[in-house]
Amino acid sequence: MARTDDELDTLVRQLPAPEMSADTREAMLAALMEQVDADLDRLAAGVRPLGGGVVGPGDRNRRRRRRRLVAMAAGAALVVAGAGTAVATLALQRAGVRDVAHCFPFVTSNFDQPGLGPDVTVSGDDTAHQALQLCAAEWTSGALVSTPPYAGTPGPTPVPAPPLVACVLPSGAVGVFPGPPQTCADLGLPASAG
Amino acid sequence: MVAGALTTPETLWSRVSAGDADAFAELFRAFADRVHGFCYRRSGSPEVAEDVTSAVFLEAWRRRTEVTMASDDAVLPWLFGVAANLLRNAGRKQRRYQRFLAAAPPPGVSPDFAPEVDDRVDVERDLRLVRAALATLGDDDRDLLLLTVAEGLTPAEVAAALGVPAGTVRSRLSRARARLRAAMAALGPTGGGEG
Repeated sequence: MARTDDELDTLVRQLPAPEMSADTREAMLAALMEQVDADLDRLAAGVRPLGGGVVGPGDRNRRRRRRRLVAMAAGAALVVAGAGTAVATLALQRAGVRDVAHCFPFVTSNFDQPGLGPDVTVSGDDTAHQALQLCAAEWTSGALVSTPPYAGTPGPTPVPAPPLVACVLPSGAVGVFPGPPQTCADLGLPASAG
Repeated sequence: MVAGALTTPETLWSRVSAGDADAFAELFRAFADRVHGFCYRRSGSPEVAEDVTSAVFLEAWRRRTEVTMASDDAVLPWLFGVAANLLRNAGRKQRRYQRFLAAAPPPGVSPDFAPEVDDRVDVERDLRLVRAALATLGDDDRDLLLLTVAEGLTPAEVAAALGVPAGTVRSRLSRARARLRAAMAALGPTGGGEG
């Protein structure tokens, strides 16, 4: 005998959806606020922000809040498996992974987010230069776009690529982000030296 | 409505739109668990759920000036819509849900437990079955069922989240339920429904 609509709905409602732990939630918020603050800082400096729009210069509470959130995240990072703990200290670094790079559709510190931009295959000595060229090609073809789902249909008319910067991700691969040269530093990553 | 307990529900999104970082943090605290719950049910993966939840809120910040909300009641459906788009893209690339299902025990196989736990075993079996059946549905059906049934959105909110005409939500939902019922029957122990 087939299930009724009510029986089906009851089963769907019972599908488990475990809540995030408080530590995970706070670590996620801290990472987001880092990007929000960096965005506001860029705007205050007259650099085009991530999302555009009109935003005033940073408020005085911002850095105090950032310190508080980062302190909370530091504690949370001890218990969050797989959290990004490798904070780069070098301003310039050679990529350790030499055969693949990643093109990001926007500036993000969540370097392993699924579905956000394509991988490109690189080889040879100048991995960063190749990655920049290949990612620029993704942008100009229209295959990589800055809005969800971050993958477009390549068209016959080239789309201007945004300024791109090559950083070395914690994985050792080159990550190419849209943004000004200080983007790597903003993300706590070394710029790629090749 | 679905907006949850907000301290200032009438102004939260407008404050975010104006670049108020504290309002953005408030938005995250108000809705992150709901978005994460949807992402978890939709993906079956805690890693994907966390990654996409983070991406949803970053997208909310990035698009704060281009998205107009009639009220804060519209915020959560919009966040669900962003999540659905990201999950579809993630699903196409990674198919983690399928790997999650492949690792789960097959539906319909119940060990011989004592009678007092039979009911619980039946529920667990049914949940495995409905999860496996959902995985066979298309993205549209799966999102519609989860947003309507599990998240409790109204037809108008579902329409806004998924970008479909509001007048078609009920008929789409009816068809989605029928396809879920058929998938469960096909996947059930007898192959002909368990009802």
